[in-house]
Amino acid sequence: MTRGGLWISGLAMAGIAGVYWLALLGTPTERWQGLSQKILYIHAPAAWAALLAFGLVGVASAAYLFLRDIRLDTFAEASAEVGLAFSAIMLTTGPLWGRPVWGSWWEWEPRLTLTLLLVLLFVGYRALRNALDFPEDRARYSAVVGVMALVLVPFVHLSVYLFRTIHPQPVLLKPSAPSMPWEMLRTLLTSIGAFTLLYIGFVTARYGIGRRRQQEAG
Amino acid sequence: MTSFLSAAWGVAAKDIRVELASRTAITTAAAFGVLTLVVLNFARDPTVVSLATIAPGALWVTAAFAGIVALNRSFSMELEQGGLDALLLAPVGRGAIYLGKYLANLAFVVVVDLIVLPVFVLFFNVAPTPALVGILGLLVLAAAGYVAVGTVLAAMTVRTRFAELMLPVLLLVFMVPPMLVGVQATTRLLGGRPMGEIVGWFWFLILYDVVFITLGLMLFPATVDE
Amino acid sequence: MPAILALDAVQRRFGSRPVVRAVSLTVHPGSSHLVVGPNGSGKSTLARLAVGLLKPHGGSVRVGGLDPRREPIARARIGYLGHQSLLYGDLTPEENLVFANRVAGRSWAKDAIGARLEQVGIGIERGVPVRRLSRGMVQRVAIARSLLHDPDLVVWDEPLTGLDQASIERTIGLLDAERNRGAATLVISHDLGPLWRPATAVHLLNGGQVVESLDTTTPLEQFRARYGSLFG
Repeated sequence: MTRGGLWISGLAMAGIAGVYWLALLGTPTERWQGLSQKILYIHAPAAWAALLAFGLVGVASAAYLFLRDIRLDTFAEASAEVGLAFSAIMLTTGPLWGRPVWGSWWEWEPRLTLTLLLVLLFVGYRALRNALDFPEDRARYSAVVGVMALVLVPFVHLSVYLFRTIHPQPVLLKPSAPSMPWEMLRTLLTSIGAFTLLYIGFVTARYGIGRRRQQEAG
Repeated sequence: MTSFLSAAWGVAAKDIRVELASRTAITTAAAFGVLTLVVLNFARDPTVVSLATIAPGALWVTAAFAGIVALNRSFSMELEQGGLDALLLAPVGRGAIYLGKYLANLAFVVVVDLIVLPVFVLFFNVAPTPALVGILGLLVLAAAGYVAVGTVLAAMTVRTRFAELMLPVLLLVFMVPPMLVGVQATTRLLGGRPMGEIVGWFWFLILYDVVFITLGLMLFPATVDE
Repeated sequence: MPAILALDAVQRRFGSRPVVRAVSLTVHPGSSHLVVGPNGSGKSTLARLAVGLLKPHGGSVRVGGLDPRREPIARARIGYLGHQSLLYGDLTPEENLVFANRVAGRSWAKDAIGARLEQVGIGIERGVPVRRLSRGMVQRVAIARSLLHDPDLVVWDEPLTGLDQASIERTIGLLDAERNRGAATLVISHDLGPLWRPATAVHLLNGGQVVESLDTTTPLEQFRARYGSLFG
């Protein structure tokens, strides 16, 4: 599994390299934001992959509580770690983009805020896992946190939205899709595809590592 | 149904009796709350930042931290001499144990809030208007939500190595939505806005409470069954 | 008469290490079973499995035909004494027993509680917080707590720990009384001796398995001669 995952990841990263080429050379530059807008092609797909990863942790956690199959826990562990990795990309590209566009490094924009909170939660999730020695306890407790995290997401989104309607924030990071010209949309979708593939590759590899660790522990 | 409620009440009453006998949680949490208010009062340049500006945030941060201190002891008392075993052996469902623990924890947090609020009024020069009743209501509703989450988390973190640190790390993220809403509503109330304007925020808190109490009831058995 | 406790090929691991391996045991009402074995033989784990505090990784546990982990009425028939006292240090023995009753849906008069505590020799101490009582007294209160609801199955893990001679005799007396009442008792001990005589069946547990089961017409000395080395 690990090797297969690494192959897929390699393929995906080649795809992302292609996206870089496409973004810089094959896509028109946005009028208002200039060159810095091109971070979008990394930032938005990374955000998508991170939220996908964390969402699947929640789903796998719920499934574990019903089915008690330890492999679901191994998957959740893998997806959580990959989610943290993609979040790191998203949270670093965000300020890099935000600074020239907003004039500030950070804003409490719904997607950034949600990702930041999920990162903090899943860092805690990992700490909890590390503090538990028995695999069944670890799987059960992680699953409980995973399910609660999933249920929390809409509340975070709603509360930040309410916060924002009171305090108008700079324009959303992503130019609205309908008015995006075809060339930009194409690059964006390609990147989303490449990042999704990268997610699959990373999780598969990490899952393989997790299974191997389990088997070695006996 | 009645045995469920009476068992839950039995657990809650026991928690309250233990707290009255030892008096550790509430005094510690209240002292911590008052100290936090003191620190926040001084953590500004008074010529630049007015009390009114930081008051709502100060109140809610204090309530959150004091609430965590109160929650921490909820399951440590059970771990001491196998109290949790006794509860699990009792002929009552896990849900009754959760409800009992939840009610006792909520009572403690509300008592701490009741101590913190007047001190807040004192330190931050808040006018004693009926708005304070609304603010207390917000504090209680928010507590009803995050205590539901905290009870589940405390049952788990008490068995880990760094229990006192693990609980806040996990719980604070769950506290963000109610706190965010609570601070916004408090700002309005302190600014003299009518209650009608913040009805929406109340409904948000109630929704949060209902969802997480239900979720807590469903997830709690997984945290105690070995 | 149907068995009150039926362990069928019960297994339990800690991580990857098996602690209880395929133990089968049947306990009928009115019998007194003694499980002995050296430290680390899995006795306490077996007790916790029997009362439903641990989930078996293999096999099944039935109390009165029901799974104690799922059925509250099965749990209602069990009286358990573990290594921990199951008491709250800040409450008095009286308050602890009142709580034990309340959470099981019973409410008794103070006198009835007091009588139960007298049975284990707790008199005026019943109003003293458990935290301030001696180890032996705490153990006695825990014993009283386990018998409070007249259980059909009494499971005691190392009941004589911390007791003086008089209390030991009193406790053995309680064990006999339970059997006469028609209950079944399952006692775990690493120490042979006073618990041998009241038992109707003895099981030797070693390495998570029942190495031998015998009835107690066998004299204790003979058993000791054969297996004494195991107990060090």
